[in-house]
Amino acid sequence: MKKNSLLTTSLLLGVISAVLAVAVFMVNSTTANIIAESEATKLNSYYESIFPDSEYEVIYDNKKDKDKSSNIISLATATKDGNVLGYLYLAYTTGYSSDVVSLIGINATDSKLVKVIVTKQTETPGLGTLATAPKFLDQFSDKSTDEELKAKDNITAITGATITSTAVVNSVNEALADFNTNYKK
Amino acid sequence: MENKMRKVTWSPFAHSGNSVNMAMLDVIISLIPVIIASVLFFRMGSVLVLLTTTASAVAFEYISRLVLKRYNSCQDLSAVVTGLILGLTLPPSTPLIIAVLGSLIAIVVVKQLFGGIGNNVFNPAAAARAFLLIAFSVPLTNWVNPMTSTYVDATTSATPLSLVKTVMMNIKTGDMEAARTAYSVIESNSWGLIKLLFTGEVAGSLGETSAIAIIIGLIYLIVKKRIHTEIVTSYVGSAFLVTVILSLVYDLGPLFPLISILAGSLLFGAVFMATDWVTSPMTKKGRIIFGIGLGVLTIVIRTFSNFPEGVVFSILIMNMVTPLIDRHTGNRIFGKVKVKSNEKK
Amino acid sequence: MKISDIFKDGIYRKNAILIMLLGMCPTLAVTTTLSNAIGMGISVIVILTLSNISISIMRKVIPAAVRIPAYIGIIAALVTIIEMLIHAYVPTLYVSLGIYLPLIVVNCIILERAESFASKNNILHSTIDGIAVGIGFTLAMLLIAFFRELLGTGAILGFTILPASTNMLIMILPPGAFLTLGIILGVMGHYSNKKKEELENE
Repeated sequence: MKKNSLLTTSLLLGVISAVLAVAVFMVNSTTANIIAESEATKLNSYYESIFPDSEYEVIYDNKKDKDKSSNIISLATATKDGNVLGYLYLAYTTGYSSDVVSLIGINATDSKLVKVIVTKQTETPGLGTLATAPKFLDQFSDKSTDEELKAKDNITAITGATITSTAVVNSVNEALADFNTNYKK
Repeated sequence: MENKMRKVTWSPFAHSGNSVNMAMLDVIISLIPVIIASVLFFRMGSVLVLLTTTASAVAFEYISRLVLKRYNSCQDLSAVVTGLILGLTLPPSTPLIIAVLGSLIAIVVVKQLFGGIGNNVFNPAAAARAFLLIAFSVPLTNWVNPMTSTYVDATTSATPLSLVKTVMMNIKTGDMEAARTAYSVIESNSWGLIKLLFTGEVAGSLGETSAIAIIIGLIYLIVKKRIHTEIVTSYVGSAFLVTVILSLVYDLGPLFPLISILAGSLLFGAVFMATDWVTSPMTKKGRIIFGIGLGVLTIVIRTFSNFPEGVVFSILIMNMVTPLIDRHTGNRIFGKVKVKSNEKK
Repeated sequence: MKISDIFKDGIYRKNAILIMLLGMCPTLAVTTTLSNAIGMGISVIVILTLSNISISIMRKVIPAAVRIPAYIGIIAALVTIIEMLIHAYVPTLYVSLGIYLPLIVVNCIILERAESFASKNNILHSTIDGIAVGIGFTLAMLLIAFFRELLGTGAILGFTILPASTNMLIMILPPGAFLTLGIILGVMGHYSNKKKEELENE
């Protein structure tokens, strides 16, 4: 057998790729569940930081249902002693270099924003990421659901990170609009 | 050896008396009307900024030549010119430490690191102005109303350029109605605005406000044959043409192009920065291409970028293209027969 | 080949960023703060060492004609596997390093070391080369990030040193990366020219 014939070469490359593919598949199948679990606990800890000591119930999860028509990924309610405390929206908007996913907590009784947390992003480190830090996100707290938020207007955008700032603001507006039509008292 | 020398030239030589100092001195004289106008309108703010940039530019020139162990080049006055032009592109409320930093960038980074006078790729003042604008965008877009007597109490104000910019922003999004409404703010008093733009009684950078002062400087430079008029005319002319087209498409009325030319630092940049001998092309054809590029780029940057003004950026871009322009528009070398493209082989 | 030579080559004589000008994408993009540079540097050291080891092991199996696609496949699979493992078992590390890991696949230093070193040398030497080049890369990243963070945000490792009024936004934007790298390369060029002249004069 000639060592460098076309057939052996391509066969070898095919074997190498197959081995690599199997390796990636095996690692993925073992880690996928663990990742999903740890993400679920992480999301729960985010829920916890907005409405502490409550029970959370998922109303719908578009990610599980593979529904991509809306920017809202999932919606959960926080209940305590049988009373609905608030709604937790997980929504995404495309930022500068990635999808910026934010968790928006709305108080059910007085219809005000409780807190916004950015849960997932890969924006430019040191610039876009500034718009996902508490200093920027704290501006949303206690805003009424009636006012439409606008970067540069009632929300101060981060200099040099206008696109990421706007992405977060758009996610919040998306959640507010859904809350106002469906759940507002 | 001697024979060869004789072929090249004959002595004795006649000296025209022309030198780099003389040219620089003429540029400084041509800047005097602009400086007078800026001191008149912005008082202490103007004096402080101009003194700081000029003094620090000369100091940096001296220090960097000393450190680089080259001959002292302060007496050729080019550092004074760079300092003055940089100062005139800054707003009157610029913090002085930022002005010093601007001189540092202009003289040390842009000029001396590239080899000093005659070797810089970019116009030092334009490069430093662009650096400062991106580095300190807040203090450098803080405009002050003219004729306010004290430096500290000056009130901030919108510039005529920001009115033009609002129109441009709506052109960018393609919203014809909004562009029209934005323009109606200007239209209501367009002749008054044009009058103010000519005298210079508007908010803006120190040297860019008064069109009359700039034109006086331009006339002096033309009379003294210090600049090539084709850069100025093709720059202003092409910018005018582009805005005429925009104004026809968006139905903005006949005065919009004129206001666009007069607002912002377009005239100042065209007369004092684009005509820099070192960073502009060598042939007439090249200079016309250079000017057209500047005009089109300025309006494009004004329309599509987030920055209010496009003059310094377009000057930097065209500076970068200058070697290419020179290569394709170079004069025929004396005695060399022109080779036709189909004869090349 | 001496082990000390491999170290000297990797860290300064053939520094990946400052001498060979490789891996410009992470150099320009991730040097906005020192902590980012450290995160990227550690990720590169780990991946580079592992990819050097695996390619050195497989160097006799991979046919020469298709070595580049094979290397790319190995590197990409390695990075993906490591990313998934970290994500699953060390989630805290994933939060801080996760965004840099996928970037490493396209880092040409990894491919360059695979092609020019690991495919020709034994496993021990390839391992050391991976560590050395990774350290050289990290040090150069730290040098650039130090100036950019200090001048751009007035802080070092997040501790504010300079007042906010002197923060130059341009330094943490892309132009700042080019300016810093250019000036560092210029200074280095100046000194290496001087050295050359001295050597020639002797």
